[in-house]
Amino acid sequence: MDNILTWINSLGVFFLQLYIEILKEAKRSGMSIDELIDSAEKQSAQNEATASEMINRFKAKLDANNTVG
Amino acid sequence: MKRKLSTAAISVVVAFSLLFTACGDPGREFVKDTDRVAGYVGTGLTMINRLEGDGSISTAAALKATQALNQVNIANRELIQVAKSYKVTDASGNTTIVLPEEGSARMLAILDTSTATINTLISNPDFLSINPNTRKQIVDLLNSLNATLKSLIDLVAAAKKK
Repeated sequence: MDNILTWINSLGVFFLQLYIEILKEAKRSGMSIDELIDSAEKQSAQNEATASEMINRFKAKLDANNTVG
Repeated sequence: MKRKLSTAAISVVVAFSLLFTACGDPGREFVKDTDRVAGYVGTGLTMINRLEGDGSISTAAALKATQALNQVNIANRELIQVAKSYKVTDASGNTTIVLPEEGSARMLAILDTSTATINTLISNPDFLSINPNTRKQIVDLLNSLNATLKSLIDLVAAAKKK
């Protein structure tokens, strides 16, 4: 029973993700070139900030582990 | 399981959307692909952050993956800037991107670097030490990223031939 529920849950996640991805594609299709460039630039800038924060955090964690070791 | 199916959903949409890339306006498809790359990098960063947070991958592997995604993101930003410089607006106010032959070598070099960055990550020892099921989830996303980079390479190569 638990396995069946896990499968139903997982399939639900799959179709939700599929729906989100299709919506993203549909949104892109309706966008002008300027809007697409703006969207790509905004997402890239957000990625850069996120990646920078993650890299610093992971490096600090590795350094702390090395110091303890 | 949930994450595995989420990346599978992304792969399904990538496969379908890239099928239609060849049919559209090349300049518009180029910009769409750069937006897709930015989206996959964002999804990849979220996934790595979550996997490292719940202990599914080591911090060393997470660092390598994040650095690789960051490199792809930097290259993608450069492509967006190059695309912007080729923006043309006609008399009726319609904007298009005209990919000229000059500059295509530079674009191809940027795209080759991104592809090499992903392939280097996939063969990195820290990355290979991730358990196979978890690694497959990440590789599925990286394959979607690679497929979109390949679509960009095809668009630039087609512009070069004209």
